[in-house]
Amino acid sequence: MSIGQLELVKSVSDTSVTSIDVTDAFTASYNLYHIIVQGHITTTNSLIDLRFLDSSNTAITSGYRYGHRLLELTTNTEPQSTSDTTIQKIIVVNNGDTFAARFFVYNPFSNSDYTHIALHTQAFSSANITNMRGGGVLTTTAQVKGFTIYDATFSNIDIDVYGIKD
Amino acid sequence: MANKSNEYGFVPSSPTQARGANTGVFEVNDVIDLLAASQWSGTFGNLELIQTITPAVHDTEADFDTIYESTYDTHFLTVCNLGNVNGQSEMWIRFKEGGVLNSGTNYAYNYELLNQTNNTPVGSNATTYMRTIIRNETGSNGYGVVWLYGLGNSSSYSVATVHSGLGAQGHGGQGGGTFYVKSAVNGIRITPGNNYAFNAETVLSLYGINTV
Repeated sequence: MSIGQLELVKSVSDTSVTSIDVTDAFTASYNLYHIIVQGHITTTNSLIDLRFLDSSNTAITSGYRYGHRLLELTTNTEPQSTSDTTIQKIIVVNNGDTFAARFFVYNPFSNSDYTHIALHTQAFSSANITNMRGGGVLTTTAQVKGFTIYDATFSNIDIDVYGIKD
Repeated sequence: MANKSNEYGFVPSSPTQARGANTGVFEVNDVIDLLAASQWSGTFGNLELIQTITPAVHDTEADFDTIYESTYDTHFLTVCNLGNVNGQSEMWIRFKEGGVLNSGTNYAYNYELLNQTNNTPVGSNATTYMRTIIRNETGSNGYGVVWLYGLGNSSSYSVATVHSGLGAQGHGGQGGGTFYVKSAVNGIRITPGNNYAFNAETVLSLYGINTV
């Protein structure tokens, strides 16, 4: 494959779920992943979280740090934590409807580096428009093979994971 | 471009020339032609150039009228040297349904303009265009990218995320927007904003990410 190319490595879709696991998405073939998430939410005030999955595709429940900047119309807040069981609020939808998100995940398959994530999401409901930018890190060097997105009722969710060939 | 059915490839005599399902033996030239006709699968994940527009100076709008909205879930728009002949302004995006521009109060946007020490949030939940933080400033053109999601999905709003760099002082911007009509979008109109007219340097390129 061409160097620098985006290569689709995994597509996952589901409907009427409260969480979605993307297993075995990360391999030794890539160090950097570009992830696109699109979907709809039916629950109000959805604050969607993300956890990484370990080498057994089990959710990792400690060791997260993150800092975001959430812009709700023109009001800023800055969700952040230096010790959490998850990366909170990767997507915020005030009153349930359409969202889209892009993530970059760095070094997930490495056994010697932390796994980092950078994100940019946009959502809209009848109540408000929200825009989120930020990032986080899983402060363990254990291998990560996937991730789970949860804490809302998704009427549908589509996830495409691309590897960037280096 | 005309359908390439049975024009390219050999073995078998009628190879399959359908995006995502090519079978048969093709010469390199066949592949190039089928790529141009959006009938070649290639490697999934490629950015595929749909169209580049260089508006003529004093044009007030640039229209992408063929966006392959049923082929691509995600589009990517690059903006280089954005400017206009009137003054400082933010780039606007509007969408077309069935080839007809929707200029109703169906758009929302928000963004932050970032400089060395401050941020300036701007937004609207109900307006007639998606205003972006890709803008020109006095003596300096604007640069940025727009990711567009779900344009062809008739059961979804169309969503955008925007990043930019602009100004002689190195300002940046981040934001996004939503076209909150659940319909299939089949065209994109870009304007310099404020009903201004483009300069002679603006270059707009629209890509799709192939997943099928």
